[in-house]
Amino acid sequence: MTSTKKRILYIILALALTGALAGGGYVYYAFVYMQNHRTTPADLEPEITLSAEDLLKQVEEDWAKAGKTSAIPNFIGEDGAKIIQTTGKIASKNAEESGNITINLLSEAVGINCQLDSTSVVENKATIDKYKVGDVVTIKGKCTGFDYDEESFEMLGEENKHVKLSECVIIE
Amino acid sequence: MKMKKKKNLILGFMILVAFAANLSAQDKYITKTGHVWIHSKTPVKEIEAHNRQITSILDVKTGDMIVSCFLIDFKFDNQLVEEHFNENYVESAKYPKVKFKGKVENVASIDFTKNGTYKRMVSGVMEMHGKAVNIKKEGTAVVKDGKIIAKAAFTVTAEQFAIVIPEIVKDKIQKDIEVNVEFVYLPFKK
Repeated sequence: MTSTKKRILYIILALALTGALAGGGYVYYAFVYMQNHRTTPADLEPEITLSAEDLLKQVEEDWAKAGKTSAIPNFIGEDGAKIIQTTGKIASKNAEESGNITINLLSEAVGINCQLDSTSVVENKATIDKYKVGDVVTIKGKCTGFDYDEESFEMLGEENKHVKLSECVIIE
Repeated sequence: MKMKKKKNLILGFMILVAFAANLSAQDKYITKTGHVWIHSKTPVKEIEAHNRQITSILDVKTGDMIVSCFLIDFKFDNQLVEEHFNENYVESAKYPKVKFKGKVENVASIDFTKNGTYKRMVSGVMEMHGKAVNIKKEGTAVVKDGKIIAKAAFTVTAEQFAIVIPEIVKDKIQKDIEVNVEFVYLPFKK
């Protein structure tokens, strides 16, 4: 091989190596990022959209049909908890010590219990502050369960029934 | 004593008793933001998950306590670990809820109207993954300005609840998993 050809070969090899390292570095970074990045309901499209009244009614029907154990197969299925978007009147809005905010739709005792995580509360403070008790709001979150059983009813002497939504965000 | 005076005295006494009974009518306490966190540590891996949406009701007259906890509300640092926890181990789609029904022993000796710290045994049944397990552990209750701050710590094993941990990951999960509880109960107002 002539010295010119050798030089060209070396340059090509050097470029190829740099490319490989850069590509590898990018793949590694993406892999690590994917491991640490959480997909939250804020990143996803809702699978079910309905009013708070309908949500409560349908979840309770699903719970009863599934045997009143705690399973709600149409809301927590094989692929996990469904992303729900629901609209209703705020019955209570409370900030917790942890920085989380709890919003109850319909009523505090019977309704939709929505928890907004502290990190999302900080990011969306302006939006969240706009809403007060009595306002109608649209919330998107993950359905984590139906909180209701005969014993709590017996203990409190009144109904205490909630559809729980977690990692919620307010939709405007 | 003349008959009329006696009747008035009895009536007066009854009214006083009824009034006094109403003063201590606060017997139910509740939280919907109770905090439970689980912790596992082995030489190979450390895992922790927090759930801040526990519902619990406490009757301070009888000592009756119920706790409702939804498994999907446990937040892990690593989303992959969280997925495995839900899909493979606790199977939260089939059994979304963990329920504890128990009793706090010797509540009568606690004065809930005064600030103070008390240690009491709590015993009951915990249901998870379709299995029921007896739990008995001492907890601490701090009565402070009308609130009750209840704390407890105990351990559970996957085996107790028929949770299967595959051989490959057995060295990553502690056999006796720590469960920590901290609830701030507020009086339940109808």
